[in-house]
Amino acid sequence: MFGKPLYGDVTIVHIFIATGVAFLSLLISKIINLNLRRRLKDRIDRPKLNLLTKAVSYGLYTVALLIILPLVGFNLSGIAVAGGITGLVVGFASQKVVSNLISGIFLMVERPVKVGQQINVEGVAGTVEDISIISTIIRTYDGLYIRVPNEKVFTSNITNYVANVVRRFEYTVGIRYSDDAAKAIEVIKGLIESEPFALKRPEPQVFVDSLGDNSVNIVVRVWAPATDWYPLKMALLWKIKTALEAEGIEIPFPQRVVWFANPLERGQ
Amino acid sequence: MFGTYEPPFKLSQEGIEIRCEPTEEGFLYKRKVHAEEKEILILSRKVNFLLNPIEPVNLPKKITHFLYIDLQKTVVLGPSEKAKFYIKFPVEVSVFVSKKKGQWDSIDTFSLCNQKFTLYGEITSGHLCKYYSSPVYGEPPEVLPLIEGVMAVEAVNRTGEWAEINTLVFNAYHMKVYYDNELVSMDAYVEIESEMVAETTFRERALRKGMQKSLELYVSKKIPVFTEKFVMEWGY
Repeated sequence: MFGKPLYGDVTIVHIFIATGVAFLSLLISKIINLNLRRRLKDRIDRPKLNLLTKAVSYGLYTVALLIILPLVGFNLSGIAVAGGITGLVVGFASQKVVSNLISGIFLMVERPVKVGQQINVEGVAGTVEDISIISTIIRTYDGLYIRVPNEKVFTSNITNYVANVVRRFEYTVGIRYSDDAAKAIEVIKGLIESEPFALKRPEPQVFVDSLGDNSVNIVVRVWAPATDWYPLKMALLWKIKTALEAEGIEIPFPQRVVWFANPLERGQ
Repeated sequence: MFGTYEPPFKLSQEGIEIRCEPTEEGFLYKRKVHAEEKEILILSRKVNFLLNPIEPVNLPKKITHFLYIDLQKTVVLGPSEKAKFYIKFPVEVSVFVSKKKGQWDSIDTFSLCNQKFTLYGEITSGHLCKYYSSPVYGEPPEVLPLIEGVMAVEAVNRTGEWAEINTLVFNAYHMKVYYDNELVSMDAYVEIESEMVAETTFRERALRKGMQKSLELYVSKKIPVFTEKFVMEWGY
């Protein structure tokens, strides 16, 4: 019974073995990946670990597929020779999938983005959770799950907020025209100097940028480590305001100076 | 303050207060430096404590293993000359605990110095470094060991031109810190290779007799062919 072919030369035993091989490859892949993650999590960074586990998984699946296909009656050499029209049809039907696949490979080779980095692709901003062979998973800052096809990632402008070691952020601080701008700049520079994550070099820039309608506008440009800039940005502006006010320098409300054509008559 | 201690103990020096008090479960470690306080409950009865200075690149956050020293005076070396001078570096103290002999784990790190970071090199490929500014001395200066250490620097100019040294960058993985109750020291060696390139490394040598070597937090793997030198490729 078990020796009777179901189709071609394929018997039920072959089907059982093929199923067993598929199941075993999945199990082995999971066990290996779990152990790799546990042992290497502290030793290598997340993008490399991710790449390693994917390479192990895809390698195992490929080996399993090469074992299973002959078992279930697919002649691999035959497929290669008889590709022809079937290949053309499949190619046309799956061109998007293949495009995503190729883009995924190029993304893994070129590595413009890595797992764990904060990026913006076509308006989708967040942290890269996973780069698989077909798509890239981004977790937005609101915690939403967004799947972006790799072709879109590869062919779009990618803004990577942490690819470089450092980055700059900027404020514009307005002070009254009656306040001493030089003193304000000195206060702000002193404050920046006392912040550990405000880098010494490249040097911060603090200067009067424009004479606005309501205020003298001072631009403050600070360089910080790419991984630690946001907490500094969140904290520094209020510290600047408080420090300026402590020195008697105020940030003015919008205001207008009104000139009358004729002298005003005083009320009786 | 440096050395090993059996709990309970109490230390107070230069604005640093450390206490280790027994509790029902084990010991309560308390540390106060200026306004900053830290408490750790250690659930073990048989422990020893070790206070020693470590590579000064951990505070306020471990984001780099490089130390950038900005020299307040330019040091000028003639062609093919060598010279020795002394600079200061910030001291960071780590508190280690151990249950087994020789197996120490750091539970706390503190410093009395101001903290600052800087970039050395290009924005795209440079190194984020811990920053410190130091005067330059011809002889070892007087220091408070809980605040600053003394680094002896031997600089060699391998070029045929005059070399001006304004900054030095060191890799914590190469640092060898020595200490006694009055001094924390390191012994550095700098080779000027070209107009823009210098190499820095450290010697396993204390500044004076009787100093002990600190436990290293940054231990590099000794791989043949690769020397333990940091290449300063963006100028000095």
